[in-house]
Amino acid sequence: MSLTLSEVTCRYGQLTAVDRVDLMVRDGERHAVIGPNGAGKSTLLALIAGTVRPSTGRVLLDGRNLGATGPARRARAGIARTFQQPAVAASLTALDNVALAAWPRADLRGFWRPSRYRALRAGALDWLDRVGAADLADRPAGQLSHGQRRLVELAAALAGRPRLLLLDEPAAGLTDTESARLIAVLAGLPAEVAVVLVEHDLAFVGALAGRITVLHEGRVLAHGTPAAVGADPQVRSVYLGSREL
Amino acid sequence: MRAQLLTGLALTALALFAVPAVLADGTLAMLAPAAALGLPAVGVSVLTGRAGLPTLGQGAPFAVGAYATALLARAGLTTGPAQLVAAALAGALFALATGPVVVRARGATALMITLALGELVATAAGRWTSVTGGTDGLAGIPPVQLWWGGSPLTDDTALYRYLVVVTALALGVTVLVLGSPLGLLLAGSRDHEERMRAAGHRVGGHLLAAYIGAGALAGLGGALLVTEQSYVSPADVGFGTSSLVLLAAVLGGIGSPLGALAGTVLVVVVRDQLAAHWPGHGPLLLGALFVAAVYLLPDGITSIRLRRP
Ligand SMILES: Nc1ncnc2c1ncn2[C@@H]1O[C@H](COP(=O)(O)OP(=O)(O)OP(=O)(O)O)[C@@H](O)[C@H]1O
Ligand SMILES: [Mg+2]
Repeated sequence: MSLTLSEVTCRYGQLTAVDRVDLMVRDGERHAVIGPNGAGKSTLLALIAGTVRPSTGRVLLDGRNLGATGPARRARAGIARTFQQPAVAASLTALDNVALAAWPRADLRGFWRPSRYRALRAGALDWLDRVGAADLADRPAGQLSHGQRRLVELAAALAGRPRLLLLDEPAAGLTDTESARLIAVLAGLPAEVAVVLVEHDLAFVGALAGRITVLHEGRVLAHGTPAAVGADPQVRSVYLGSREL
Repeated sequence: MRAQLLTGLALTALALFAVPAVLADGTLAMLAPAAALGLPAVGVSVLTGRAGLPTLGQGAPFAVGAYATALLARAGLTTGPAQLVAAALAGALFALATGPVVVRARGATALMITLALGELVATAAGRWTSVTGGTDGLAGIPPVQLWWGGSPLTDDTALYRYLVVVTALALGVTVLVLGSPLGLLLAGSRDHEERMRAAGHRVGGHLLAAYIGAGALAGLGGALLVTEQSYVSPADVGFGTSSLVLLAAVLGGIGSPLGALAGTVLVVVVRDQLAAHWPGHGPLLLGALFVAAVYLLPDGITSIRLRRP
């Protein structure tokens, strides 16, 4: 699924969080968005997911303007996301969280029936297993640690079999083992799934991203291949410093 | 959920057979108001506790169900099942009509909107004299029949059993629905609405379904009220009723349908019995009960355990 942002601006009162951003993510592309704190990365994801409307500009999915389409309809069209602050339904088990997330795009849609839900739960357990959280399945999500919630939320996003996956700092709060596992899971996604990844962990970005966009104060500072972006002197001075991509 | 259903079944049997054997007919009449208010309280419990949509206006669908039943009965429709279906439908339709406004609101705003709706309906009941009998209410309602062609239920015990059976059936259906994935979905929307939308769920639609279900339950309660007292007036359906059922749902441990029923019995007994010994102080007693419940029993009276599990 291809995503195009054309001249998208988002203002919060006086503040321009996203400023005339153009972005193009092709089918199956793994695209990282990096930049300093407050650069507008999360806002950019919210604009794509539909929880925030652009002040001006357009967001197009497969060439169609999404306009005022709400987040639920965009999700049903195949856009899944995780939040910077991991979002789970606290009173439900990890497994129910994932199964419920899989429901709207599952083949066995239709009237709610316990037998169908059981099938959905079996698939959900499989996703939890893939992200390495199968042992958490029966724990209420509210009892999980920050990192564990992140894994559950990611499993929930993946269980919806998205065509476009938006990830807001998926590696934050994870141990090295967990984040290595996550890289393997994301690398193993079907090739046609497009990913927009916001992440501060440059090793994580380097392992996954084919293209990178650098945001700074709401504007696109640079975009291109990791090598090209890593060599950009402006990017070095504003964000990377002495770190390597 | 199976345990919950079994407990419900056991309690129903107890209420059906043990209670009438122990209590005199006159005392049974004391429990009857709890039957009418129990189902609206169950609805509030589902809406507020499970779906996270607080409401102070369930007196409105209660009123709609009660007046629909009263009018139908006066027109000659005295068969119980028909009255119940009509009342539930009336309550559900009222919820369908007002739901789009209500389910957009959250928190205190939802409380205010439902409160306003409740007041509107109670006022309409008082003013629309040609249909509702105004503040005098509708009297002379013939007793209900169990089935088409059956004999009228006039005996106190039989009437009481009718109320228990209807309440138990409606409660059973509620528990089944809450135990289904729809119940999980409502809990998910309450916990993290944005998460549910991000997965593609039509949160507003599910909340509307819950609101309609609660409306149907309140409508059923209205039918039971009319059956029980053969009379209905605006005083039965106003703010007092809406707040009473909210209090009952809170006392029962918000989100627990069975608890809401237990809470209703407690509230009704406090209101009608204790207050009778201390005239004029009913609201004060209920207020004290409410404060005590919120501070001492955050999970409601059904959370009291004799032993640690
Ligand atoms: N709802 C909001 N209302 C007002 N201002 C907001 C809102 N959300 C974000 N902002 C502001 O918009 C700017 C961009 O925020 P955003 O969260 O998109 O940055 P970010 O790049 O994700 O930062 P971080 O790396 O810290 O997550 C910030 O200055 C932030 O304070
Ligand atoms: Mg952010």
